[in-house]
Amino acid sequence: MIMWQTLADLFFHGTLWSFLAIGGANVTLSDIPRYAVDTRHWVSEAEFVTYFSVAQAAPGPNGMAVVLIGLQAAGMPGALVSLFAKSVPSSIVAAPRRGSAQ
Amino acid sequence: MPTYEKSTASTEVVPTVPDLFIAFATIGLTGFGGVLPWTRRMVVERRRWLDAREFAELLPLAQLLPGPNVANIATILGRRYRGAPGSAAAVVGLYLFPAIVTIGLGFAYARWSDSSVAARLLSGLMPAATGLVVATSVKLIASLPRTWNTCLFVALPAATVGLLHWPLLPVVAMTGPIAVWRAFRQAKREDA
Repeated sequence: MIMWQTLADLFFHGTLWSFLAIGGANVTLSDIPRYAVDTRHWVSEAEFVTYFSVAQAAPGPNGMAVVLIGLQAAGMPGALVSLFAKSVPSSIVAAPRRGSAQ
Repeated sequence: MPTYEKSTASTEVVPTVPDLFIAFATIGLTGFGGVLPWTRRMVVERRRWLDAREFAELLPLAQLLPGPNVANIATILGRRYRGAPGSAAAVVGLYLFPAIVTIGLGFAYARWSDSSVAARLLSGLMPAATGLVVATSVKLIASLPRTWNTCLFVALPAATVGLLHWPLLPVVAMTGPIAVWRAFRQAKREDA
């Protein structure tokens, strides 16, 4: 039961952060620790900085730190939910656009 | 089908669904510290799906839409060439391998975080990663026009979110529209 609540929470906030990252993932760097560290205690402050650094050093898009936070908060399902929330809802919003090349 | 409505300015190549997947998977695997420069290299220089001007037009749209910038580029290009399957292939390609690597690193951290090698590795990484963010912030601030308006709308979110730890959503919802409205009024005054 508690697990489902955590997953729903990860999904909701992951989607929110993804949507707020207008212009780049760094926009959410202050809001993620505020919620994940101070409110939910999913990770400690030091762990957040560690995960952020690991995500920066790893190949791929920035902002993958949320996947590591999800992993620690709820194991593998948490990581997958965070990844889904980060990528899918915002892509569905972007999908109707074909860009300006006409 | 509107899927193939494509500019004739660039080459006539219409990438297939596997093409889209492979291109964005390569971008995901090579992009250290941010994938935007790698995206441009792949899409414009290597695959020639877009010319430089088309990419420059696409980028602000991807930045303005909610969500990660490169994921938006992947979605838009995938949709343009191959519809929904194209979008899905490009976005999955972009995130698949980085996600595997990141989750693997997460498990590695949980297993070896107490070791002195990991501690030294991370103590070297953390200032570098933080420095990258500081460099980005400085570059962005330097590129802004030097007006009182700019000062106000840089200081407001920095103080409320950064120092007072207010949630990001209400701050963006409040300052965003006001800043845009002030910019419009400014432009109107300059026209008059």
